[in-house]
Amino acid sequence: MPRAALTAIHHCLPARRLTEAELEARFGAKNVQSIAKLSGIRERRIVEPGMTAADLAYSAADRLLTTRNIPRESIDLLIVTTQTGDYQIPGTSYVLHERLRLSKNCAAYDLNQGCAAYPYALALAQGLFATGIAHRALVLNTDALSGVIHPQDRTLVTLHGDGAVASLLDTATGDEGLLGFHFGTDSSGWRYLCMPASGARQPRNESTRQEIADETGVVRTAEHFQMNGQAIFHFAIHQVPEVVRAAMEKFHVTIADLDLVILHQANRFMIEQIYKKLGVPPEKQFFYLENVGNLSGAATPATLSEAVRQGKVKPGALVLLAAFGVGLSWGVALLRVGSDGLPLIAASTDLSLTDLPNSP
Amino acid sequence: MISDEQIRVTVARELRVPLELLQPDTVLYSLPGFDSVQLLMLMVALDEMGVKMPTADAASLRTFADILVLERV
Repeated sequence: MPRAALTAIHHCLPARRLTEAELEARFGAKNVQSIAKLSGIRERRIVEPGMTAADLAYSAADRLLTTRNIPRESIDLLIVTTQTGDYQIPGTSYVLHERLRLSKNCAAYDLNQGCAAYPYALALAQGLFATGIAHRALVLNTDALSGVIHPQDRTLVTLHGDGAVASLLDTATGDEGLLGFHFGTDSSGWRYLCMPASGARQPRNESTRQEIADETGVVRTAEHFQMNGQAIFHFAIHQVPEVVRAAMEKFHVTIADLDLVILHQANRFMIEQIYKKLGVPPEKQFFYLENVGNLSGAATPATLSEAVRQGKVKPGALVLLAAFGVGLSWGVALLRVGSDGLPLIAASTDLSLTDLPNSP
Repeated sequence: MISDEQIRVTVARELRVPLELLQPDTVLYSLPGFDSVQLLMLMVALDEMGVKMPTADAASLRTFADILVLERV
């Protein structure tokens, strides 16, 4: 059965930086320092007005394809995961399909997934490789949550950044590739990460634009993204270690077999708790959030991409990816890197508005 | 079995408040110097001492009484 293999990965971040100093002026130094101590996040990258998640995805993909000299007509599958698409209709995959000048023979999928998006997208691609439908895929994970977070919601503004990742998948020729997946859902918690007035269930009107402050002073409206931080934190530190253990059992691997364990980068304390419960030694851990923030659906692949940039992913490495979030959902993927390793795509990951002459 | 007093001491330590401020109807958010980050640290401390908290209870944790009614192992 044909198997997909990751052959290149590149991430893109907006050039604009949201610093601690700006946030301290907005929320007070005590609040910001307290959150930063737990989250490990000191700076976030956020899009400028006029820049969208699709722009970030376009830039990441265009650089990857150009640098690697990948013929655009050779791609027969495009998967885009985002919660912050350019339009309600059509899906962002169509917009990006046109901008990237992909072939009419290329299938385009949108996947509305949050922080667990990467394993889900990889599994979808793997299924289409296995059935002979796809032979070369471009997977784009992108989110720009800064545009849907209320500027006075300190619990989210302080944590989230924007970013996109492009992954190129080709048919495996050796023992490399996507080796296993494990998924699950606890839908009893879907309300804990939600943007209430964002679709047909709760149409936007004057009342959904009313600002409401909760008991802790967090301000938001029903039109903004909302998180029950206590619930999500609890879910992550209890459910995720169990899920990863179950996945490893299913894959017949142990921590000792793995070269790297990459987790969704929600906040550093949470990641450390999960690593601790799983017994992952420091040399198999990797963090990528201090200067970028939680990149939502792009966080897990961006962490893998940054690990590649820093030379932490060796040829033949066995990497476990675990992502979790909106839904509440989780996904675990096991992949082996090819014997040639993964190439460094570009020195820069930054994107400014002036870099975007082709935005529609 | 973990006693109410042991829980009270843990909550007071993690939220950095005097023991006497913790009455069953005390709203945690109303405590002086309350910090939502401290609440997350408290959840970890309660877990480590054997207080079981389903995610739904974590989501609605509001008063000291909400902690006292949790299952203990």
